Amino acid sequence: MQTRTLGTSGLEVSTVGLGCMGMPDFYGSKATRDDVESVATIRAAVDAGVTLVDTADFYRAVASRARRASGHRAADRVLARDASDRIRDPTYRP
Amino acid sequence: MGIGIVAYGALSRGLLSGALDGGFEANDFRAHAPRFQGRNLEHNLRQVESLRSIAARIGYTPAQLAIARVLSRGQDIVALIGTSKRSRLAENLRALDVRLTAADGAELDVLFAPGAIAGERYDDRQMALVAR
Repeated sequence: MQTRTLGTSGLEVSTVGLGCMGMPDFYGSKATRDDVESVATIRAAVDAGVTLVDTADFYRAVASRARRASGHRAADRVLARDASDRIRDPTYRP
Repeated sequence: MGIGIVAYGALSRGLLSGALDGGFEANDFRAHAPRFQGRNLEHNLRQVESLRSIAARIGYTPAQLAIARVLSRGQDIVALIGTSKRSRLAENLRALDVRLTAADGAELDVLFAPGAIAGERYDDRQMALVAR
């Protein structure tokens, strides 16, 4: 897997990352949603050398699945989490 | 500035896969995105057909070519490929093998010049959140 360096902190990630937004329900319909295939896709990506898995709290259930599935191998990986919903929440404190 | 770019929506929510024809269900994000409505969608699908022609000429799929173009725009860019299917994942990962010539790149620059895709990415309310 090819990698690239993001920013200046030495963070190196796979040149393509896996986006998980479509896994729960933002695209398609409940009829086409397939959690088993989604998790298999995350695992296949990690096995292929993908070290950037993009998810967010507001993707709900799939976020925790992504964390578990991407952690099934002891490889370095980066789990990017879209924090925009928190940034816009004036009550949020990290 | 030393800032890395994580390019999300590299396939424009499936538009550039060449597999869409509209008809989204109400809870589908795209049912409300201007880019996927009516005449905008008709126009955009014609653009995708042009993408498909270029991709076929060099032996790749529209999705593979779209991803390759994003990656060709700078060494500080990584592309997010959103999929929930292993078959699409495998297809998209082969984008890493695409070698674009300068002529291919120039052709794609014209096809996807600013304004070449009709309709915003999000509706007005969401655009107000991202475009500021």
